[in-house]
Amino acid sequence: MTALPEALSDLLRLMRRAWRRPAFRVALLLALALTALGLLGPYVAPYPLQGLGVEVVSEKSLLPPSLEHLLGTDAMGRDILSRVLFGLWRAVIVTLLVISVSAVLGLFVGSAAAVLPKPVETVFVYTMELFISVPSILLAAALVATAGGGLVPLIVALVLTWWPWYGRVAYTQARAIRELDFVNLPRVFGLSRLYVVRKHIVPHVVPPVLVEALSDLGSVVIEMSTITFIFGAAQSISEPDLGVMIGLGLRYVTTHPWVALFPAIFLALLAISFTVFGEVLYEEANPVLRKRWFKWF
Amino acid sequence: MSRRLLPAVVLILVLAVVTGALLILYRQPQQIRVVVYAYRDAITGIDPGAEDDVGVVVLHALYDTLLRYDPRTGEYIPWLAERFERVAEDRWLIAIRKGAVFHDGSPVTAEDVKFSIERSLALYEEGIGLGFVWSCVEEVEVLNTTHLEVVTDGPCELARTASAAYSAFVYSRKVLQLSGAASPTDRKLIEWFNLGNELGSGPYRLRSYKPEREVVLEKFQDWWGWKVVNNPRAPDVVVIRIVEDPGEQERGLRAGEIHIASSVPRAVLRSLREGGFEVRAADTYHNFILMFNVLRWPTNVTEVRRAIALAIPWDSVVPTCLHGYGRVGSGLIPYGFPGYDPELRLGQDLDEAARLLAEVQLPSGTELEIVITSGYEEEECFAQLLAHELAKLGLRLRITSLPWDLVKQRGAEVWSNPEAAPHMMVNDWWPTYITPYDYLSLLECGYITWNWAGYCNEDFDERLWEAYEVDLADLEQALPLYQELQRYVYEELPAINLWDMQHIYVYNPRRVLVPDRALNPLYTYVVFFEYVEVLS
Amino acid sequence: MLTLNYIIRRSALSLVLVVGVLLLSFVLTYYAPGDPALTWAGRPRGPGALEAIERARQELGLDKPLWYQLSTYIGRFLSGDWGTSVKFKTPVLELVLRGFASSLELVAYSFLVAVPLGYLLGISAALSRGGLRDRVIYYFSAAISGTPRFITAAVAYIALYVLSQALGTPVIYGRLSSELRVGFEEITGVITLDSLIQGRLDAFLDSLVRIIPPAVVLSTYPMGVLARVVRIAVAETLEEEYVRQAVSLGIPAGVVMRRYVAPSVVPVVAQLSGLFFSYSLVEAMAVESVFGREGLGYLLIKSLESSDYPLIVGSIVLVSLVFVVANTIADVVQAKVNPRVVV
Repeated sequence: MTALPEALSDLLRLMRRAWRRPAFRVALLLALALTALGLLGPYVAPYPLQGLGVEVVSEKSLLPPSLEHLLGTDAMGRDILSRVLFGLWRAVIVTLLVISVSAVLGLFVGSAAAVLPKPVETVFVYTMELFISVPSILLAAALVATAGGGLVPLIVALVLTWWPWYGRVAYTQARAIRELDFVNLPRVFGLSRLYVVRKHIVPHVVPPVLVEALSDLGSVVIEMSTITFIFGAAQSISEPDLGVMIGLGLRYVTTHPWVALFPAIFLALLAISFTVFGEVLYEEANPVLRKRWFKWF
Repeated sequence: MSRRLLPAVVLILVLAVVTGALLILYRQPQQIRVVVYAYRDAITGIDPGAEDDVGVVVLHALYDTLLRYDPRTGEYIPWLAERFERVAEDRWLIAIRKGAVFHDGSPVTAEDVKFSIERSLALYEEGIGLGFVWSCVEEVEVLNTTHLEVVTDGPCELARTASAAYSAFVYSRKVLQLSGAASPTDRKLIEWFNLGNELGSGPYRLRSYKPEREVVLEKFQDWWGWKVVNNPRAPDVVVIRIVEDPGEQERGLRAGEIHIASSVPRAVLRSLREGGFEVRAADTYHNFILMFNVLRWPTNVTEVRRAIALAIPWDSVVPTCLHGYGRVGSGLIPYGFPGYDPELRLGQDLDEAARLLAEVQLPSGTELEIVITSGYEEEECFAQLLAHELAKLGLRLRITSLPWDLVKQRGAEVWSNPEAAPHMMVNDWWPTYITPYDYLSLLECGYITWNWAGYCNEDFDERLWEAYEVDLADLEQALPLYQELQRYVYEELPAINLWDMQHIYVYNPRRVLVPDRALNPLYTYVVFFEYVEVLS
Repeated sequence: MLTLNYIIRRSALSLVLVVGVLLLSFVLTYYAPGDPALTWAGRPRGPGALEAIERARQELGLDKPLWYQLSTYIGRFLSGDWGTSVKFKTPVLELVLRGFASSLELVAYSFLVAVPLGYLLGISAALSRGGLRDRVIYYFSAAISGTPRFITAAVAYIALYVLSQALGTPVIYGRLSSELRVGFEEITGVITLDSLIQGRLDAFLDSLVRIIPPAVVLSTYPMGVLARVVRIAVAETLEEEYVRQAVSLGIPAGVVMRRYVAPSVVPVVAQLSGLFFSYSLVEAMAVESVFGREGLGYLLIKSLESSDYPLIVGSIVLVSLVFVVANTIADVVQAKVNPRVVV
């Protein structure tokens, strides 16, 4: 698709504009650093087996930070630094996965809705509105209750509740340009709908969706960890998850604060940096007064 | 309004409200004495004749038993019964306390005692409840409104039974008519009780019953015992609050919302003590028994069970998971209980375990499932320790943690669908009354509620009943028989006792006092609120 | 532009959405992996399981044709029978309404804090555009709104706890102190309201003190975002020709703000608040669990532990319905307030 390189260059231009703002610089660098740390984490963790939750060293439980264990140990004697690195890895992977899948899904459904015949369009739009009304955490709960715990129901629930936002953006953009001549003419000449979508609509729809997706990174991190924090016990107690770690660490927070503190610090930094990155990007792309809410009705 | 003024006004308003609130909160005189007791499992039911689980925490406040027993001193305390004596080899005379009344004002009569005893037996016959405690009873004869005689089948230590923790409560026979039940064993009556109804003679009456959240009790002014107990500072209202997470119990305790906590994370005990809380470790007969699914591969193979038992890090379990508040298990019967055998302890031996597994050629990477109760941090800790050790033997352990009522359901599944039931479960057990039979009854064939091993051995059952028959008349004589049964279990290993646990009650001594008399090892997790003193 | 036509169309859309939500819950119930009766009954096992499953089968009407099942299902929900909770053994509707009332109370108080403060912070920042105050406010709002609410809640809880230990004041935990709860009637489920209805000033003040810290924690997201959005909106409006003209004409600052700037900014605030409502309700669940308050979060945790499907589905239906209604109202308000909305 020729759309992608164009969209990317638009994006880079946007980022260069955003770069002027110091907040953006700090946030982007921090976000990149944490993402790198997350992706590399499992390979640099000092005690990888403890990080995964397989190994347990009961005699060394709840030790404060020391040279051997830079961030201390948790209730089962596992090295907190390793746990946090694995947890970070999980958070980054899940966030990237959810955002990319939702964005792609939303993009296609939204664009398709704009060019397909009216009944199909109504159904698609209706589905998007419907899923926007369902809160992610409850949907995740329903899925966990039927499919059991683990990462998959969480990801599915997040994707189901997030894609309609991109769908809406794609749809509004696509709708705005579908009436334009340069879109209609090819149709008149008999070119297939799919071609029209690919060549003409998608290039105009991808940039706003991309911007939306990037600005939502922070929200996904927050929502994902909120869900795992609340679900806590329903997930496995030994798997490395920042939300679960904080939840379980709260048990000892008055006496051994580091158990909950360090995962919390990393999670907060991840969330804040992603959020600020996203919001500045969004602000640069969409000056407030021209905000597109009006166009939604 | 000017923009500058608005935040200032808001701030002043907020400050005013907060100050006012704090002032008012301080000036509030405590008019009623409230005690909040945090317990970690949802109440399973409050039918005094049918309840066999945690409902007993509530039952001992609503109902009286004829006697109470203190294992620490060995004495029987006359409770609802003023006199309880053996008048012949097989005959006991019971005199009901004068002035004892039920919560509706009607007097406690011998007919009511007869009704209660007979119902316990009848329900047990239908497989409900723990009425087996009355098994030696042949007939109950009412002499007059306050006296009755119990005829037993041969010599029988009836006092032991009358002071049991379960199924020995006295309640009014009016419950039949109040519930609209056709007979004492009519399920309608059980339902009536479990909807939140009661008619007992105990120190507290039931004000509201939400078994998942909290049960609220209020003082019954006309209880016969207030004069005996002589505690003017007893609580007027008792709230038994269900708090499953130990961390939450601790926070509630520190916040002053919970006055007596029964399960706080053990790691914070020292800090609580330093914070001025009283940490009371109480000896109990509460133990944690690991049960193997003997109907499912690979735990149906004795060598495999033995290997797993040898893999358990016996030396570190108590220090790590209980922080020292307990004792390693030896045989199914806990320390201090008649029938305890110290020779049945195991030690960790990974080499022997590996050898056994190799002998039966168990493939490496086999996955085993264990089910534990969520929020029981000692079980969570144990499961993770076991997983670690089993990994060294090439076995994978999947840990499933569920709330207690669901754990029971999965346990019972071994009888209907053993392949779906987990390989191992942790069943925590406490006594009905002082008899070794209690702990061994876990392995009785067909005992669906509690036999989660699926163990069915006719020979074992026969010998167990034999021992119990002797026990009824004379416990001493039955001990050797029980010892044999324990050895048998030790060889076969359908179940193994992990540890005997102490209970840790934490409370704020400036607000509430829990004297020794309020706790009793025979009545597990029961706090006798009539002895609790509320200070502020 | 607000016309009756618009209101009717919007309401029609929301009604259709309501039906959609019910359909979704139907799908969740029937097409969850495994036997729907098993899921509805909460996956019981052991004795009594077969009876429970049979009862669930009858409740769901699984032996009847699909259209019949669907209409009975929807009919049941509309008539108020949302099933019985497997864990709590009480009607789901009652449980969910009570939980919702508690969470709603928290969200409402958080809005009371977030909207005025966010608005004021934004204006304050915009007026000193580029200056120190502007930058401080910007970074502050970015930090507080970017941190996950449950972390802020944990930090706040610990800070308050330490403070109360030092000062000897009661700890902020739960909705109402245990002593005051005895004899307290929950009428609406909104404790601050119920206490006033019953004329119990002590309970009112106690519950108010207990709700303020979690409300402030919950308000950090809307407040942070509002502050920044208002900041930009005001700054940009101040750049507009007609505003600059007004200032140069000597119109006092207060009037300029009220008459010229506010009308551009208020619709933005209104629309955002509508979006925040849904988001806050979800975050309220996390904040509740840290502060020990009972609400939807508590119900959710319990229902997950026990696979209490009727309760989960009931919660989804209720919250989705609320979102639909909230969005509709927000849209209608938006249409009224903003002449630029084209319908």
